[in-house]
Amino acid sequence: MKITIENRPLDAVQEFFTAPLAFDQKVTVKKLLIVERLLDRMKALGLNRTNLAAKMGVSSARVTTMMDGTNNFTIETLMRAAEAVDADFEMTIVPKDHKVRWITYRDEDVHISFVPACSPVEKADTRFAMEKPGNDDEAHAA
Amino acid sequence: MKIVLKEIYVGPCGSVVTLRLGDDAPSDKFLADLITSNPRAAKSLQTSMATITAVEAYHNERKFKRVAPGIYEIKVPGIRLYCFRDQIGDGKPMKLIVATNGGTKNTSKEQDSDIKKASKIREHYLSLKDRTDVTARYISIKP
Repeated sequence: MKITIENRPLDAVQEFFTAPLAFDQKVTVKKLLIVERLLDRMKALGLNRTNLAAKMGVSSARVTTMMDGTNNFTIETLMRAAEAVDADFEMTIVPKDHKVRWITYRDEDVHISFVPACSPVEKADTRFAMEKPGNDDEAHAA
Repeated sequence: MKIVLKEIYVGPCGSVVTLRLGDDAPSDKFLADLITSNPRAAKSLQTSMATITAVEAYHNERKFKRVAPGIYEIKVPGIRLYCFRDQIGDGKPMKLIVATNGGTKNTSKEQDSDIKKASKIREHYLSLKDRTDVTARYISIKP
């Protein structure tokens, strides 16, 4: 099948679903994406919801509401869930004009030269410019 | 046979599209009706689309569940949007969630009927996709 790509003015269905998410929708998405990370770990460890509930010391029903994205997680709950899947809970706040990429690694897998710095790297104010090479310049000779 | 894939949501890891085969576009009709009859449920669907397309493979069956071979349902309270996964394009393929049809969470008989309809639409689409004499139009949101 050949595909031709077109652009047209948006119809009512497209207008509706491409509208920016409201704040409460963004909150639900964030909750569900955290749950997704939890499910990834559960899958890796071969745990089901009942196992997770037992490890967290809560009811299966509680875990089910967590998976629905309707639960208002406390940081404590998220940390307990992470512990239950042999993980740590990490979080951050970023300026709106920044993007976020999480890099996770084990110390033994990475040479110390590549371990990210703990503090932001300061950008040098110096500007470099190419000057016209002199006659005795080795590069010019090459 | 007119084939139209119409983008309705674009996420970092895929797009949700409605599918028209010939004169039939049940997912488009379902969503158009839902927007006017139950905008709250439609907004919940939008939230689900944002979540599902934010990751490569979404595992939460409370929200996105495989209900038949190749057929998934996007679940929000009282509403089901049926779909299948597809990829189009060479090089860097576009990952799609193709919505086939929708329904309310009524009797299991009605849900089974909706799922069968979704499977038939998917089969028909895949049979056309293999043909070199067929052209599909992809209506993109991005300019």
